[in-house]
Amino acid sequence: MTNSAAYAIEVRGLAKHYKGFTLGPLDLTVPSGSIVGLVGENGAGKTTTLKCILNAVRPDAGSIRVLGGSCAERAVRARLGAVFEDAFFYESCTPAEVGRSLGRIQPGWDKAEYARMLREFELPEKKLIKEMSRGMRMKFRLAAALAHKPDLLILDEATSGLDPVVRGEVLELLQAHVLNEGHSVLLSSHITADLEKTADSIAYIHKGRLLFQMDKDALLEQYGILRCPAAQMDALPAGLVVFRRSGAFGSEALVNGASQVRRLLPDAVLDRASIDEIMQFYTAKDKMGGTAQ
Amino acid sequence: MTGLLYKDFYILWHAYKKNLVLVALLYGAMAVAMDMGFMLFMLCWVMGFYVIGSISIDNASKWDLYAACLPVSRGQVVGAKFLLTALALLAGCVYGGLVSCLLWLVNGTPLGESFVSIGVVAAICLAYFGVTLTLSYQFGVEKARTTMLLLVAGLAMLLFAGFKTGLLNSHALVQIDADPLAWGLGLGAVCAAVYLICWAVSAAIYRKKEL
Repeated sequence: MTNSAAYAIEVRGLAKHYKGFTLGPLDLTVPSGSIVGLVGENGAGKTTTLKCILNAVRPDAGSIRVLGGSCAERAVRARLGAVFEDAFFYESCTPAEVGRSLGRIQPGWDKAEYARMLREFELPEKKLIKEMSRGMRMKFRLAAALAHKPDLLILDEATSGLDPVVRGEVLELLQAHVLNEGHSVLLSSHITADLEKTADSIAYIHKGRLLFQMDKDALLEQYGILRCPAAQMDALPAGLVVFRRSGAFGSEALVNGASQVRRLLPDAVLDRASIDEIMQFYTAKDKMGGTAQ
Repeated sequence: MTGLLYKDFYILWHAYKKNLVLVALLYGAMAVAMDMGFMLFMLCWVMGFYVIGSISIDNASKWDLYAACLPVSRGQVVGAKFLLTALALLAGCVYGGLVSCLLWLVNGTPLGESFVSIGVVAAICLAYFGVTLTLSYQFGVEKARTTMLLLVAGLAMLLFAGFKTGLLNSHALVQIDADPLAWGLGLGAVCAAVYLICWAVSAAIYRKKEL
């Protein structure tokens, strides 16, 4: 499907070369009205991907469509909200001052909605942002990103460093944002538990390459952690075992095709694989040169 | 662009308000009590440095990346900074004008002379900070400050050497004394041209920048 309206973000063949690091070529899509979780270890290329999408860096190859246009267009950026872990409105201001400034920048700025969110998050309008807790600061950034009711929200590590309660509140807010008006969210995070709760699909970037982008439920169905004697694992058809590791208590492997493995080895222990585990096995496989099984 | 100006104003106000009040009071008091005319335009200089300081503050909060997600063009981001510099210098001139009036009332210092000197220094500041902003966008604030100090020191040394060796004589200075307003306006026009060129160059640099 290549219909742009079907996607809030459509990235095809994106590539960006730096000295010592190459991103892509990768394809990534954010279907309209969905939350896509972008996962990957530190330095995998998540932020570079987001910067390319936002036109903050120029890709060397590929095409990027955002809300049917490009982030180079101001009209598209006016329909966009972004929250970064380390790029923000300077925190020596108060939420009221930020509102006055952004209200003159964002054409669709809803002053009442901003005030409502500040109240809901219990953020004092006249308190300096730098004097707020980390959780409050993140909620403030979300309020500032959502006050113009963006069609697309891009978040880069927005939940990192937050306590579970605040993280839960933030995730609920994102889900409400998508559910209420069919908005879309691209959420980059290495807290995969958050994505398991919220995301509709997961895109996994490893060393600049997109290893997969899958519907989250299908992903968690498809992968499994197999624990059984090594001889049984060896007997499995090629391609089912992504990576195997052996320890003092036997062997365990990440398998791609859990239902097939369950049929072939009905007595083996086959657990659901978390996104964390999927990432860990893929990373371990990569460290072994990508050939070990 | 007003939103960008608001943002810089709030940031600078929070960062420098105490310093600004102190400096304004101190320079004003020194100008009047000690009849130090050059204190009239010192605030222009200080205000320019505040604006340059705002680029460091932007860098600390990675404002450029944040701004890339807002519906403002890169030209507007740079434009707001240049506009803010001009407004800051204008505020410095207004302050200088008010203190000039005080100096005239207290010490009888001629108003015209004070106004021309404030205008000339403001024009020089305009060019100086225009170049500093351009260098800041190209190389970063710290390198830009150092480069400007070296450039000014180099220029001063050249002038000193010129006078010392007789290559330059005081003839030109005598002409300035003869028609200070014309010289002031000429200098103002040159400095404004430098400022506008710097603005255009900075916008071009920033448009190509990867954030």
